[in-house]
Amino acid sequence: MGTKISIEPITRLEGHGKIDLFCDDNGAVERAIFQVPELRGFEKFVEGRPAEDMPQITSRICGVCPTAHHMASVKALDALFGVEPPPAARAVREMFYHLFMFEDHLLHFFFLGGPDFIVGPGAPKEARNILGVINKVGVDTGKKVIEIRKICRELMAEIGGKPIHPVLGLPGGVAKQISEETREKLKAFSKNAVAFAQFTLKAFNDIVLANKDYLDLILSDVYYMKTYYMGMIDKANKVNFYDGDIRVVDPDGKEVQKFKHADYAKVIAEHVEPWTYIKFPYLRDVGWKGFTEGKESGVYRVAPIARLNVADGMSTPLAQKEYERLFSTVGTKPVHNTLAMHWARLVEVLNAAERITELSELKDLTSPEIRNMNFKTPGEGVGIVEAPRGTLIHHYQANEKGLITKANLIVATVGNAAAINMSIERAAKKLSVNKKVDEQILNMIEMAFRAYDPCLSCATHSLPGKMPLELRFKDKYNKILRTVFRNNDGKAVSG
Amino acid sequence: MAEILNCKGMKCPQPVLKTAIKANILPAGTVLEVQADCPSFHDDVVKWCNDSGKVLVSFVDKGGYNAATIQL
Repeated sequence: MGTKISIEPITRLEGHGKIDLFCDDNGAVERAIFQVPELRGFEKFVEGRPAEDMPQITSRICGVCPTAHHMASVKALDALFGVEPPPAARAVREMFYHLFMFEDHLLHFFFLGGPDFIVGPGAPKEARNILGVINKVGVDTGKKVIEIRKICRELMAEIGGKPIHPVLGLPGGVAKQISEETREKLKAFSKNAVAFAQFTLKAFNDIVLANKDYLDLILSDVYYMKTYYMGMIDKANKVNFYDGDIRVVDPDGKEVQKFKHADYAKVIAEHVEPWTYIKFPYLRDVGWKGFTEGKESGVYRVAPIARLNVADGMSTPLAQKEYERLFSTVGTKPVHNTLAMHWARLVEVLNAAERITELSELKDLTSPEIRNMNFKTPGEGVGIVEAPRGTLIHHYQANEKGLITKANLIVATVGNAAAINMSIERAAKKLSVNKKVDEQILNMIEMAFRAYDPCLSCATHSLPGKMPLELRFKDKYNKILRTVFRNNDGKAVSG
Repeated sequence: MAEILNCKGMKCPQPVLKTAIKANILPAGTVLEVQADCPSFHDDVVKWCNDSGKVLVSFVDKGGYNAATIQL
């Protein structure tokens, strides 16, 4: 008798989501779908708005990663108005963006994804949150986490006007020059940031990698999937978050695409399913073959492990060593282990901290030449950055008055949408067959999406570990046979 | 007779962007008067004229707003 299990809402992510598991007559999972059950509609309601408003409008898509949208949007406006920012503006943008990458990745590691490892996938769920993390790593470390992110966001506010929804970028430049006083603050911060990134990697090493059960989990086939990977690289083919060509490698690690931002639509197509508001991008040349992995399927992945997989290395020395350690530990390149996203994310934290150091030494950083105003007639522009969650694409078309006529946004999590579905299905199939669905299995299924750090809409957030969650087992006639739910105390109860 | 572009109430970078858009559709040599009250308008219009090779003929405080006269 077929059954359907719903996990709604899912927890410790940005935005709202839902997982439905469809089981066969024997209770084995046949299919899993990851739904985004809400419509935002930004691409439609921006039509008719002045193009220069886009960095402010699109940063409202998200309260966690507004900087990524702001920066992709500003870059799209550079292209749309045909202006290249001067070196100082580029330095300011890059500095601001690396501060953002640093604090955002730490948010995920300590607050969202990290509790699964630091506290443990089988720990009581009331402990699988930041408080549980602090309990495990100590109050002093917890204070350090909060303090370093606080200083980072204060610097972002100093440079970008506000810690969220920045007002920094303008077509052809930035609104504000960085002062020498701020440069000194950035230098001081960067030393602490590098040290903290190293400390976090050591903690990951000691708590996660040194634990055989956790390492086995990372390397297990429950969280393993062979796909294509996409990410941005610099001229030396190293990971770059702000600018560069986009490279795609196949499941064997061979480069199959390297394209300029304006050519993204030649490489990426989008598939639509009737049961979700999220689209499913895929590689146009390979084609959409459904939710399947391997070389014959156009499904690709983005985000930290994808960036490391497509690149030849990291742009900074300490991060490069960690990059080499990651690949030598796993033993393959590309790494197809989804949970290795957490490790790759920390390698990027270190890279971001080192880049802040490099940029703080740059002479151009405090130059007053921060704008190029030689605007051309508005037309069309594509802006791409690497958001914490992967390759983020903004594409605008405007009329001769500079009003938006068409907008297309391929948000980073959308790039992973198909892969998240497949990862959940794989984990659900392998974890729940012929087993009683309990709290740990529910969480381990959620771990399959949490590794991607998905940002579904950022409309609201819920306190971790306290989400109402209900599983309904139904027969093929939609009759409810059994219900498992979390009660107000957070315990799984059968009804 | 100069073309008038009313950018009053707009904030940076809008006045110079509207100026640039207008300038791109008017014939070279046209005189354009841009009216704006954004505090950074003076610096922005000077910079825009410099970057785009236009001539800032005058910049006058009209009481409540400024008028930049530009030869395209």
